[in-house]
Amino acid sequence: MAGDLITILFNAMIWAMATFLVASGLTLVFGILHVLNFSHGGFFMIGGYVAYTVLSMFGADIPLWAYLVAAIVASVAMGGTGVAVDTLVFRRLKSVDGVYVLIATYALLLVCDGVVKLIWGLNYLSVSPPRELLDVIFLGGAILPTFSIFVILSGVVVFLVLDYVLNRTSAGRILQVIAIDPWMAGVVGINVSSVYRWTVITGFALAGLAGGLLVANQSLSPDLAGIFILQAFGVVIVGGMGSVRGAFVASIFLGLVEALSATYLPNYPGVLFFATIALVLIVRPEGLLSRQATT
Amino acid sequence: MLEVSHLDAFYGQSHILHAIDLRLAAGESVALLGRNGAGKSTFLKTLLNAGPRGSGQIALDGRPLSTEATHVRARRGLALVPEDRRIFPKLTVAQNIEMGCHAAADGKACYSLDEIIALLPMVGPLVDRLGYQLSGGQQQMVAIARGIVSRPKVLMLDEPAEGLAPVIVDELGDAINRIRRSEGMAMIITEQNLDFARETSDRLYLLDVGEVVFCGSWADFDDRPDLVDRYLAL
Repeated sequence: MAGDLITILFNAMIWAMATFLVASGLTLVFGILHVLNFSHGGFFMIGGYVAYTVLSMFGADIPLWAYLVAAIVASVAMGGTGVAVDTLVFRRLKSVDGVYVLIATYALLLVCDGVVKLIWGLNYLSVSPPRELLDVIFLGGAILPTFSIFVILSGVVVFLVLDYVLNRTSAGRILQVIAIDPWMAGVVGINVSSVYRWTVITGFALAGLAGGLLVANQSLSPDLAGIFILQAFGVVIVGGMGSVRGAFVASIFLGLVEALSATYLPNYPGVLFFATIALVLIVRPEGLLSRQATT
Repeated sequence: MLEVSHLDAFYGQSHILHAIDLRLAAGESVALLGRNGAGKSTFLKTLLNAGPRGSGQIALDGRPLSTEATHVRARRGLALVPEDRRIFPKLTVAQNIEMGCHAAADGKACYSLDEIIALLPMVGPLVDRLGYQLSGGQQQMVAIARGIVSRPKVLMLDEPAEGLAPVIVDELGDAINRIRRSEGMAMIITEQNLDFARETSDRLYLLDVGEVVFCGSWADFDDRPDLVDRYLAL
């Protein structure tokens, strides 16, 4: 019984932190630029493929340092891609209707899909966890893989860093100010355009980092983007659009829903997840933690 | 110090300002008067490139501003206290004022919080309050503090007395004059309150439907009582 409970909680946290890693960049960009980036999952996916390419040099025996370096390479590569996307796409979406934003970013998702098929093909690819994280821990009858613990810790660390930067630093205050009133931010001398650019770079870098850190967590295939973006959107909506804290809380909440659903309703995958999102939208349409700037 | 020549401004296809000329010397304060919709706020925003599309020449200390972005103009020394104050609601008063320091990017030292409180004593007890907890008069004082903290060359106040109780308007007038006297900051003040404008400025420009219809001293203005009836009376 205790083992089952621990397993459910552990599975909930794996789902939660894997999803939060993807959702963090999505909600950050939405919080500051108010751009709902449908293509975010695509750049997460490409980040995973970039990490796969780096790690393929090491064969099946991957050291932890190489795994982390691959995640950083994926993060930097996607951050650089963010510069191009910001210049070519996002800057042109500033003064257009939200529908065009959705169409443009969905088109970008299709571009990501095409790039992956062109470079890496249609076959499923996989990466082994780093050799230091192949063990399991036994706790109260539950079996906890150390790589899964690594994923959970990665999500927590990313959240703590983001939360600290957004709420305890002058850079975070500038982001809050721009999220609330970009016009006044410019009037007081803040280079709003530059902050927007760095926000996009950070959001894309987070997508790449998530792709790199989670590359051993699931198989790589061109439909990976769609799977994770649905989960990430659920977390962002339930948490409160644009709120990093909200996304973190919502990821844990929906992780629990998913873990309970997988245990008690295994024949109805996703039903409880989407029912919960619908319920939150009805009861609290602004999300569990409504956006207070980007906190 | 500030020279504006043949300034036109547009919102989309709407032509709002027509060939505005304005001169402002260092340490001088001018009032910009006119009815609602005359173009006063549009003029201030156009100087900062903060909304309307402008054409014409704007020069600060002899250097043109015409192509520069809003934040660059702010760093060049133009500070705007907007009509609706736009205090950042989730930041404390001290943090709101600190935000204004981004306009001091050219190596200028900002005023310290103590110096700001010496100029605007009403701000002193408020420093730890959040922006959304302030009354209208308190918001106006904090907005002015945020505007002056970077030691701008020109402080532009858009209808600062609007909606404030008479006693607060008196305090505001004293504060503006204190800043003028002790800091020598040039000012452009848009107002509909004639007494307040007279108290806080050296001369005036009168706008009507986007055009300057009078500019001169207050004595010249008083010699033309028809101006009030034609351009300011409701």
